[in-house]
Amino acid sequence: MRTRLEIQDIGAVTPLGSSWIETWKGLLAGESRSSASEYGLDVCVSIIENLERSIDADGRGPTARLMHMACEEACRGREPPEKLWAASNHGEADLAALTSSIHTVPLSSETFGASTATWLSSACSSGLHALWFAYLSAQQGVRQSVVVAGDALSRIGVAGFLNAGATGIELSSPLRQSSAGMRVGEGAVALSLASERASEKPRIIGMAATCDAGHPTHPDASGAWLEKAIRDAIEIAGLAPSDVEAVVAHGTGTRANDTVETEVLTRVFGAQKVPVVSVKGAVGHIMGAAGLLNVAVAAEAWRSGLLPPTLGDGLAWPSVQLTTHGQRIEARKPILATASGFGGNNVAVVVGT
Amino acid sequence: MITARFVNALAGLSPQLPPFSISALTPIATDTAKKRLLAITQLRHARYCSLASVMGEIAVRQLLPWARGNRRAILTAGGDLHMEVASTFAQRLQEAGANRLNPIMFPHTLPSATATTLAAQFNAHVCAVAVEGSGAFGRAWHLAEMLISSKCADEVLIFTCRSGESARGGHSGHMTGIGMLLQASSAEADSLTIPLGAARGFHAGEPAAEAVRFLLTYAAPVSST
Repeated sequence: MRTRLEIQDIGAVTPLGSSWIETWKGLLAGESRSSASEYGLDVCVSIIENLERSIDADGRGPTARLMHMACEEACRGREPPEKLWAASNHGEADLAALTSSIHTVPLSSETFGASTATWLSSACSSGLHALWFAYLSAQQGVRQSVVVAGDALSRIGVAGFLNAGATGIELSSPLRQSSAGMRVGEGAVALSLASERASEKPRIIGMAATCDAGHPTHPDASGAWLEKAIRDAIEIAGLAPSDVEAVVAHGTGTRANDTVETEVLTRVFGAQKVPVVSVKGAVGHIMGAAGLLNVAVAAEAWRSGLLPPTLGDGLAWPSVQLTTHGQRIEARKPILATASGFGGNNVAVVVGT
Repeated sequence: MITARFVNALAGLSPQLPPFSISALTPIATDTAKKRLLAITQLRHARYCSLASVMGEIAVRQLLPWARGNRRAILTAGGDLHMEVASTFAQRLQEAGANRLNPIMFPHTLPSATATTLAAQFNAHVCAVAVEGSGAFGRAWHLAEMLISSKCADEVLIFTCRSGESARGGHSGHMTGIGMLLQASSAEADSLTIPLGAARGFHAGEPAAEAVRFLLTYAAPVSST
């Protein structure tokens, strides 16, 4: 039997709020935040108001600030973790950092008293890869860890997605046929994790990762590797697809992602048609932190039996049961969360008991 | 125990040496090597990739004769492998605007670009992840051990380099690239067996230098036999 990781606490800073509880309440209420890009680009983004964006003399920039805030919330009142896993995507790789000689230092192990810290990046699956390695290290005896992922909007990222045709001025409508693309967002999410069960909290009960190893930006059209990650995670959890109560999907709002993802979910769950939600219509695609946000949503839905709505307009892809107005589900039943990233990385997580 | 093989990414530019010969790790000047590396790489769209990805492809290709696993992972060590392309991308964005950017360049501005480029080139279907920050090489090695011992991967390719083209400056203009193939321990004569947990104590310093120090520690007993 594999060690299961208890999610002790969640921290988050997103466009919907500066704490996890604010974010969760905003998601359930169907709130959304979007504004015009401040970079002079014709594109809608989801920003965090009043975030200090300079890089200070210690090398701390906006991504580090977001991650610190999320970590502080997740670690409040707890013993220092053995291990800190940190992840981001573009992060500080913006003009300010590129043209200066400052070496940005997003997080150090000393910050939260962890004995070691490992910093990972795998585009938009960064946070879930960090969680995967935390999960694997728990199998080897690490008892307490904190996983944090974050990204602040960068000029390169916003312009790059716009230039690639993945985003635009229309609002994003994830997992809907008419979606005009994704909306880039920013934020950070942290999970405080323990391998010993101390309470009736949600746990990571299965995880798996795969890589399409194909196109640099597009997912593999067959979805075979995403499907394998999902099936492996469910199997590692000791479950069958029919045991899964709901899915918190990657659901970016791009046609490339959403068509493949909905086809894969249809193959895995068949006629069962589990409820599927994407939160990117509310907070945007918060890049490296998007996967951890999905896990946080899955954990809260497991606890409360409530799924937030998938915001957006237009018809859902017919093969999935999209939760457009929020939905009540059976609490304490397994929930699947996924994330995929540029370069074909896929990670799937099952949250359960 | 982990079996490891090492190659110098630049070995194609000097007499071919055994996979884990320390003398093959001598760095060469960036300006003399870049054109030749672009000429010999098998990467598609190589001129849009970072030089790190080009060196990585050359290094990993040399390790393929020993590759045997179906489940392969790629880890890159070092936080600035993407900075050369990101810098160029940012400069063009500033000078010409978003509409004049080449979309092919964008994914190569990501920190994980070298890892995913190598994964596509060498069919690494387990994961393609960049390990960044201080002590990146030691941490990548530790993750590789974890992937193999947990049976998530049959073999892990680690690539680390110093491209000499960091946008942040401070590099000497010399390139060093090292590819490593880690597998579950085997009895083959030309492999180097390294104890699990060997990466502990290698948690500081620039990744390529860290890797060289690691090799000097563990390869020395082999060369003396």
